[in-house]
Amino acid sequence: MKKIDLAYIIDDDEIIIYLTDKILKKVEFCNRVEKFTDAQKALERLMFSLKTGENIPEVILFDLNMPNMDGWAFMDEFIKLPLKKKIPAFIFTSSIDPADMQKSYTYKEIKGFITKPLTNNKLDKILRLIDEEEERDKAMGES
Amino acid sequence: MGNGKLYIDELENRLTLLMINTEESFVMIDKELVIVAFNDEFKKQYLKYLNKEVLKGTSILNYVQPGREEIVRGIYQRVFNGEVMESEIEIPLPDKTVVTYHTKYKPAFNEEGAIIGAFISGKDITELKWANQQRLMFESHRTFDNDNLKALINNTHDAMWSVDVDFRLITGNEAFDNIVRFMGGEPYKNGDNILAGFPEDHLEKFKNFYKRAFSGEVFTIVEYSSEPEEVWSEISFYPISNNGKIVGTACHSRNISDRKVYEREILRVKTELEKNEYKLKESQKIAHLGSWELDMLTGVTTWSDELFDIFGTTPQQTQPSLEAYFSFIHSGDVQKVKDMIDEANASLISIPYSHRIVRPDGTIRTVYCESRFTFNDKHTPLRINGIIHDITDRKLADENIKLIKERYDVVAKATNDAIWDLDLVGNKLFWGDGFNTLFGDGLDAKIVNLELWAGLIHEDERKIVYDSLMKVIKSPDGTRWEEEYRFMKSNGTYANVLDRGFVIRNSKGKAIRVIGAMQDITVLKGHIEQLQKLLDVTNEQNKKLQNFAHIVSHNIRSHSVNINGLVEMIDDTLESEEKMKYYAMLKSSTGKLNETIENLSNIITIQNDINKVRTVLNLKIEVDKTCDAINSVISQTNTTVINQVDPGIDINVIPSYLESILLNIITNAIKYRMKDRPAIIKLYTQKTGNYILLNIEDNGMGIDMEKNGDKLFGMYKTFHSNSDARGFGLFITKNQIEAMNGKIELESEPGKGSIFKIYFNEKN
Repeated sequence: MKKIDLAYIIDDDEIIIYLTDKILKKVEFCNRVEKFTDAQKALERLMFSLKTGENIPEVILFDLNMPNMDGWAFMDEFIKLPLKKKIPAFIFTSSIDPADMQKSYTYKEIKGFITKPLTNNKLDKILRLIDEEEERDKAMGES
Repeated sequence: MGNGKLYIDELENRLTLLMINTEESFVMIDKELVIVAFNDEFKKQYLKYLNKEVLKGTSILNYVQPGREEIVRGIYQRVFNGEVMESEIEIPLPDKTVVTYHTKYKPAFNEEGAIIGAFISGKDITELKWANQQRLMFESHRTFDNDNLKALINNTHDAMWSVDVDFRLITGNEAFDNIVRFMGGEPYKNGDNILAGFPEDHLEKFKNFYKRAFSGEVFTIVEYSSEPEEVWSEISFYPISNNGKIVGTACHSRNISDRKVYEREILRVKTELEKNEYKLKESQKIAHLGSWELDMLTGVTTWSDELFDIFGTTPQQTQPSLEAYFSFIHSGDVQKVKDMIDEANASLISIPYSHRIVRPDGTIRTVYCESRFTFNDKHTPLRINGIIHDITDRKLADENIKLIKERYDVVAKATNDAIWDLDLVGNKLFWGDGFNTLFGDGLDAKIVNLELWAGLIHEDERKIVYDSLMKVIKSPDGTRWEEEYRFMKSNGTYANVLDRGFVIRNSKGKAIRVIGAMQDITVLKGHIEQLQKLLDVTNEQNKKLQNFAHIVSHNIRSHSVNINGLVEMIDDTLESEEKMKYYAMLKSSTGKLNETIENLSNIITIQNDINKVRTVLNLKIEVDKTCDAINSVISQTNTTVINQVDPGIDINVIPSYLESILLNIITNAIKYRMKDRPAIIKLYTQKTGNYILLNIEDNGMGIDMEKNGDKLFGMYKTFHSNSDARGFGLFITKNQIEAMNGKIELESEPGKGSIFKIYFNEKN
């Protein structure tokens, strides 16, 4: 399992961002975490990085229910980005609305639906899903 | 049928008339020796000689003297081969006297010349015979006087001539000469060849007749010639013998044309009679119609074959009579029938009646009887003709139809539907009772065809409905039609009707009738619409409730998750400075949780307070009050509020809700004002339908309706990057307005401003 360098967390709740950041650091999920309370800002940052060639995240966790730009609106913009390498995105929400889960399946970029709070088990699952995705991409690239 | 019977009666009358007026007895038989006709004289003589009733349809052999059957049969055999036969018999009478009876048997020809039977004429010649004997006795004492004989034979119209064995004429009388002249020849002189001048075909025939006579045979032939006119002759040959040797033959010819014509007429009538009788018989069979006749003069009753069938008997088992008829009548009906007959006999007018009969096998049938008297010119009844009709099946069918009709009537009355019957052949429309009840008195008499019916259909639907009916009628196997439409009642209002029809087709598949029922579903339709509304409301509520549940769980969970996480962190952390930070966060989270729960309970209160007491308030004054309450904010932000609400508008509202709505929207307008220009808020009203519409227009930031229109009034949706926007206010506003049966809409353009449109429902 390779170590992730950069992860984005997008959530309007500062407390949850603080707590999630703490956990990610504690289990050494990644080297760096960039935190956003506004999805619009996250999108702008990502676009800026793509332009300047800075590091882009290897995983994004994003909340659905946010003011200004919500999770879905963020996703709609995200899929338009000219990415050379796929970025696995995970919904990170306290919603248990099945309609949200259904909707998540319509975006192939969304690799999982993680309900709060974040636990070690859930982080393991995220990592496993990212690895599977890379294996698959590799296999497709070789064939 | 009736005409046929009359015609046959007429033919029979004529046949009878033809046979009356002759002293000779007269009978006609067919080739089966069955009597087909006879005259009164025949009947009388048989009654007299044999004390026996003669019946049509029975064998002639029944009426010959016992022991003579074979002889008579032989005679008929020869007659059917074309010969004329004669017989002379002595009949001993009951009073011990003896009569001599002379009978002549002649073949009967039909129009094609084929032999179809025999005519038998007879005469009592007892006296004649006696006279003859006297004459012979007398003559035997006289010398034969040639001149006298000549005078005698010339005095007759019958032709007489004699021929010797060499076919030479010995002598002929004047009548004979006349015949020869009549045939177009010259009279023969004595000694001339009698066959000279005969046409070829006749020559051979007559040569043979003479030869038969020369061989000693006495015989008679009937000869027919059509030229120069129709003549029937009866020619007899008598051999002349001298000392036991036949030397010639005496011939006697008598013109029987008159009688022949008469016979032929009988035959013609008789043939026709037979044909018609056959037809009658067949039709009687088909119609279960039997007939009977009572001859008042002879007292003889005859029944038709079918009548025997109706009574379940046969001519062999039952002898037709009034008594026999009564034996079949059901005991319960005997008196009734007796009364009817007595009445008819007294008045000579019979009234039709029906009664039950019991057949020998025990089955009970119902018959209908009708009869008619035939009178002579002195109004004496001659006979009664009657028919008896088996109406059991018809009666059953009638009863069934009656039952079905009754059922139909009851159904037609009991149902609320307008039952209709469309005759496509005559384009006539008939309505059941329900039509007037549903759509107006007397309407059935006005709407009598398809076009008039179509005229009352609402014009938006008329063509569709009419065409759909025509389509079913015209399609070769269309049977069912159903359509829902608006139909104009006689009072001018429209009823929603459900109309169903069933197409009836003839054997060729052509639609000839449509029967249907029209149902007024106005009330039903109202109920359905109401139901649909209720369903919509329920669905809406249900959706809201589900949405609510998810949001509630989301909001509460998000806080509880935080609190849990923070508590864990506090446990794990040793640094007190770090701990203090967590405590602060924990405090914030619990505060937010509390706030959330409070908000949610507010919403639940609104949902529960639908029946809260309402008060009539003046809208303009209420707007002013709200502005007063937030006066400090308005002046601090340099906002202008223009209250253009019509001062005459009072609305029936829940006061706290109205206050909350106005406050929320006005403060929102101030909160989301454009920073570069002073906020202007304009309030004005208008009436639309059942609503009072309050417009609250601002020149603020506006909202991108395309992007956010669907989540505008949702819970916890915010549209501005304003840090304290929690998207809760509009959700509460919407709920409060809807709790008062109103609605809220928004028109907005980003950067220009918004108009909140609040509809107060004045009906409720």
